[in-house]
Amino acid sequence: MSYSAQRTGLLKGLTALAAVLFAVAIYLDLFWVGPEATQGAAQRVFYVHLGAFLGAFIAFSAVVVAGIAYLRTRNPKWDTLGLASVEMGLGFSLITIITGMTWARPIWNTWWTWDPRLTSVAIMWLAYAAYVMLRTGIEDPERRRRFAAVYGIIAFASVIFTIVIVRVRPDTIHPVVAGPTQADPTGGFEVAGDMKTTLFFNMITFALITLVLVWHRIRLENLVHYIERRKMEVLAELSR
Amino acid sequence: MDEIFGKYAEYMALGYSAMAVILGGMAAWVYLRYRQARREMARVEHMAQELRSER
Repeated sequence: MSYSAQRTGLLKGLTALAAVLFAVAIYLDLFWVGPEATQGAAQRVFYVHLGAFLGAFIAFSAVVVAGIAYLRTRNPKWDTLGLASVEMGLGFSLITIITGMTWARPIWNTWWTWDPRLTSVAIMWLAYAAYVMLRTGIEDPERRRRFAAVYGIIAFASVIFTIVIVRVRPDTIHPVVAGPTQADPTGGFEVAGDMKTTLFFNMITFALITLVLVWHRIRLENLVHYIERRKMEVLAELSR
Repeated sequence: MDEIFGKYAEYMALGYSAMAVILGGMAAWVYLRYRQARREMARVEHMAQELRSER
């Protein structure tokens, strides 16, 4: 199976760019930006915490787009996009959860608490983990793709729920950086100066890393499908 | 470490290490599976070639 040289070159270029941006982002996070006055170095995980959540959001949004496109066209390429995006989204949301826990330990004095935001993000992760597990249980490819498309669209409700809950529930202790809250209905951005620059740089970097990883995962899936087809062709030739 | 990064630096290190492990794991998983698939494709093509030369 051969991919066009232009697309391969673009993917290689984007991969190199993502690696460079990631290295710069880590430098900004750890050395360039100063520590937060009360939270100290623990606050530095916030840059990758939010960046990784953006990555997960982009990936899970792509699952919705892929699901709708598959149901409209029945083209298997959309199912491949959905699967690749779910897998990468799971990784990024796991980063969000783990980095949140390492921040919570010194600031909240606990690794985990059943706060509405933390509970909703755990539900979100489990919903997408179930996507991967459930689709392996369906033998018929067409049925599996249809199920995955519908499930991927419905599961996005858990992403919206995770974003909205912190803004509507007054009993959450999870901080809100952007947008309106119960305490501050007008919304706003609490992060300023170097912290804002670092945060935006991390968000752009994680968005690019998400795109690159999803693309690589799609190429892998396409190759696996191609190998399956070739095996069938060779077997058919053998039986002749 | 606290003098360089500020207080609670050990939790920051833990968070960044976890992120590196997960992100590195994601990239390595895709890369290793891709490499494995390429090897399998080469085997299948080799088999097809042998079959053609036999006939």
